[in-house]
Amino acid sequence: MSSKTHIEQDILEAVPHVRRFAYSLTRNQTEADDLTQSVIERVLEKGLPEEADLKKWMFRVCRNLWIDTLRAAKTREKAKPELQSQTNFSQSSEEVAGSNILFLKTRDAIERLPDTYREVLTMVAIGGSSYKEAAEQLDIPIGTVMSRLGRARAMIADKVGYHDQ
Amino acid sequence: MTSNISKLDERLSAYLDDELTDAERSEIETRLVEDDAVGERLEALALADSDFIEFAEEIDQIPMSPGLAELVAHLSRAGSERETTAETPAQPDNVVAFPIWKRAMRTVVEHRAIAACVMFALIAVGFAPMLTGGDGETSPPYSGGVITASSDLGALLSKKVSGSDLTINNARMTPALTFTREGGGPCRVVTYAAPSLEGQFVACREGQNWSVETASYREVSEDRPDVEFQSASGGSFPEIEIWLDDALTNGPFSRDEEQELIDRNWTTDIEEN
Repeated sequence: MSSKTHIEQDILEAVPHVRRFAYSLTRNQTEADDLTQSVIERVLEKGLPEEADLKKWMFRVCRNLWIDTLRAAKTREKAKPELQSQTNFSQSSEEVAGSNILFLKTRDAIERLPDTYREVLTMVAIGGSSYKEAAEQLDIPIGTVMSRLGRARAMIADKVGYHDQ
Repeated sequence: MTSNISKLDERLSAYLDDELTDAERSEIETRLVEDDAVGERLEALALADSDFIEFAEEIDQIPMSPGLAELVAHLSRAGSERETTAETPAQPDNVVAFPIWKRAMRTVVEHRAIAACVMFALIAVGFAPMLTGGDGETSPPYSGGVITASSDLGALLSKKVSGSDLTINNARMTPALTFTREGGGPCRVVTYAAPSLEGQFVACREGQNWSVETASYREVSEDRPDVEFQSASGGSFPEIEIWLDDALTNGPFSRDEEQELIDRNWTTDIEEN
């Protein structure tokens, strides 16, 4: 098997993980798929740095592309992502029966996470980065990674109110 | 106070990620033993983490957008073709369209009978659908789509013999038969039955995933008797039959052969029947 076959196979195996990673960042299937497609194209076009782990590299490319998209969107209309996610939530809440209230509360809590918290939680919980790796990629101290993660999880826990059910 | 709570959340969160030093871990474990509230907080943070991951995994159940599906299928085909050229001799040209298709339909009937028995048994013990969510039906897979191995439907195709089924949001999908196509790997004909739509699709193995090669659906007529999941396996879908007449070269496989393929992770060196 040639090395090219290997990278194609490795990319295929990584796709579901990258897609989850992208979905976790964007909360939108179409955007997640567009992002995943861009990541694959970028890796095929530019290749992989020597000794880099393909999946982790794809996560990194994914995050960078997402940041670019976010920057562009925020330049166009600063508050749009938040308003959009709230609208989506209210639509789906009307469609789903009362037994799914916990699911909706969880969804709402995740939707409302600030991007900086979502980013680091995605990198660690979905992407499997260590705190050190996340700190290096985000160019922030490890202590900040730790506090953002703690706050992100606490925000979800407090909004859902797991022990109030 | 808030600052102390935040500090505790940080430590508990890092405890979950195994990112504490031995001394810090030991301190947290002492607090967990001494204070129930700390234990409850740890549990809540762990649940938040688990829900966050579960949210991301939702996308596994959603078919890929056409652009991404096409790119994945292209990569998959490129890899398979290269492997086939390098490692295996060409497939024999033994296309026998109509008789094999007729035989395929017999297999469907056999599998359907087994599936009916299984369904009856499941209903008898109060089976609840595996994945029910919103009020809508799950969209059926369309031609060009990719079903990833990690999705529930991917798992059904990869791991279950014909007659087994999966219900997602009121849509039941049941592999009806398995065969190999000319110059290619294993494929499965799957029936799709939902309250408002019924049909069939053919998914072929591409690497570890399944590529949807053709699909045909129609609306369920309103005067149909209101019997849940009655439909697709009984209906005729000419587009699928024509596609099968052209593509089907070997099979359909018996349940034992299917099981053997599954056990071999779909390597196709099974003897022709």
